[in-house]
Amino acid sequence: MTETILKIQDLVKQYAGRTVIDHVSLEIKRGMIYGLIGENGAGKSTIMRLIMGLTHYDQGQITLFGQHDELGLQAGRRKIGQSIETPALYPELTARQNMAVQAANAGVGESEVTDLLRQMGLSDTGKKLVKNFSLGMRQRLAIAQTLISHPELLILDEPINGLDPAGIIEIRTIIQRLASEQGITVLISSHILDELSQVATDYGILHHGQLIQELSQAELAEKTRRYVDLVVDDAKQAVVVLDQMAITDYTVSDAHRLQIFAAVSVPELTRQLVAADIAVERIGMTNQKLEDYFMSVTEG
Amino acid sequence: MLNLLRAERLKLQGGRKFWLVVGLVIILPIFQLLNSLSKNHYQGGLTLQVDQVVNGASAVLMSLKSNLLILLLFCAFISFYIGEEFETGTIRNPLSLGTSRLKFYLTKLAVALGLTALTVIVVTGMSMVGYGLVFGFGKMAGVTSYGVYFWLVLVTLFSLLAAGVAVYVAISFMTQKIGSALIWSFVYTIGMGLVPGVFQKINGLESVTWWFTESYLFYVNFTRPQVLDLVPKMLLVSWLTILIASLIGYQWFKRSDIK
Repeated sequence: MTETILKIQDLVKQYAGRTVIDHVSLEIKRGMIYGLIGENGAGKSTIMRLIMGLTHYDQGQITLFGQHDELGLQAGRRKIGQSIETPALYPELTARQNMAVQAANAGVGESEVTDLLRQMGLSDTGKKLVKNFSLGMRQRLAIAQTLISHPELLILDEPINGLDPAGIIEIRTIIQRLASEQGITVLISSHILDELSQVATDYGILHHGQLIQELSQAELAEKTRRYVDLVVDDAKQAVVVLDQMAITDYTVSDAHRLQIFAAVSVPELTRQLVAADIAVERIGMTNQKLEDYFMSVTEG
Repeated sequence: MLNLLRAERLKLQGGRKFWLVVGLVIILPIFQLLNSLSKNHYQGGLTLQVDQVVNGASAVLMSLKSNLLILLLFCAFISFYIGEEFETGTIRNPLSLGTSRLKFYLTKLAVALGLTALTVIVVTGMSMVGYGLVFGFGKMAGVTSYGVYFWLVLVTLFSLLAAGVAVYVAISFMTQKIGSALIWSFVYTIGMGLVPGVFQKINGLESVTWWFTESYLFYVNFTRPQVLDLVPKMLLVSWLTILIASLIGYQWFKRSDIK
């Protein structure tokens, strides 16, 4: 059975009487890349801060690596690397100096600094101060910093926020490599959902401080697979045609709309519908994205 | 905690603020010496009670003479040194590695007090050499054992200044913002220079004045040997201030949420 690295039970956090985290429970097992999805202000960063002990919670329990008492949580946090919100770096220091400070914080040597900077493509930054780095370079340095203590769990909050397409691909590649090559479990948040869907293995949808749905990559694929979006004047009549064509994998959204998930020839289907005197307003292949799914879940 | 101190050393050495403070601390006694030279030129001589530092022996009082400058320098330095950790979010790095908030607070306090000690030593040492060379080493009138006087005054002045610095540390941890820390630390410095005097005018509360460290820095004549009688009280008030300020600052920090 896969080890549970992080378990959150019934977590509640209030700010000035306003509930920002509302009875959230979730579980992250070793090897997962858990994508936390939510609009701005949904509570993603707050959950991450609660896990890291930066913010106090009002109710519930956090268990890290099987420990939930204060000392156990502190020990567990030593196995976690985090970059929450903006990259937390000293702007007047160089990349190497920032790494050295984090190595000292973690109580480890600086022997791996050079290698980590190389892995993140920052080995040639020399005496350049961090304040002169691009956002992408800062994000990569922040990730390099988190790795100095050999974390088993990486918490990355909006790591691709504000990056250009090349920067996004770089960060995505780094995260995938860390997970596959070093076996690091990742908790990642982003509001660029389609990008997140290319990285995560599991998802939690956070809305107004509540975790309204959790699903795996396979479940998401099921829910967001390609389908024929069909809009007709009478869905009931269209269903008869589909039955005649032996198409069974479809759903009826309302009186006019159907989604057909089975492999079907769109020209043939159109011909059959017209032959049955059904007015076709729209027919075409659609690929529901994570973003669409998120909107349908949160707006529904 | 040694790891955190190592991290602090790296941060201070790499950043510009520390070197700026070191530069100012070195410039301060030179500036005071030039100022005394100028006075000497126009007035014909220095007067101990007015000038506090007139020769190498009395240069032990340089950090007293410059106390407001030193306090304001540290007011700015501490506000940036600690406030920046909150504003850049770098405070999350050690805390999320399981470092306790107590250790983090104590490390910052230790660095701040260490720098205060260094400042007192540099300012005193440079002044003694500078004033000794220019005005001669001389002596302190009425002081029979200069060695005892020197060490007691040096430790007392450090403690009095350290109390102010400990309050700045507490304020910085409470406000968690550079701007707010600067304003409140400045208000504290000016306020503590003025408010205790008010108690002097209230019957029955006169003694309260002497429970504020700045009262000693501003109103006690350290050039008289009798000041040594006040040393125990000054040390008590100083270290009590450090303890109370640190307890309040730490408790506030412990309960606060880090953004």
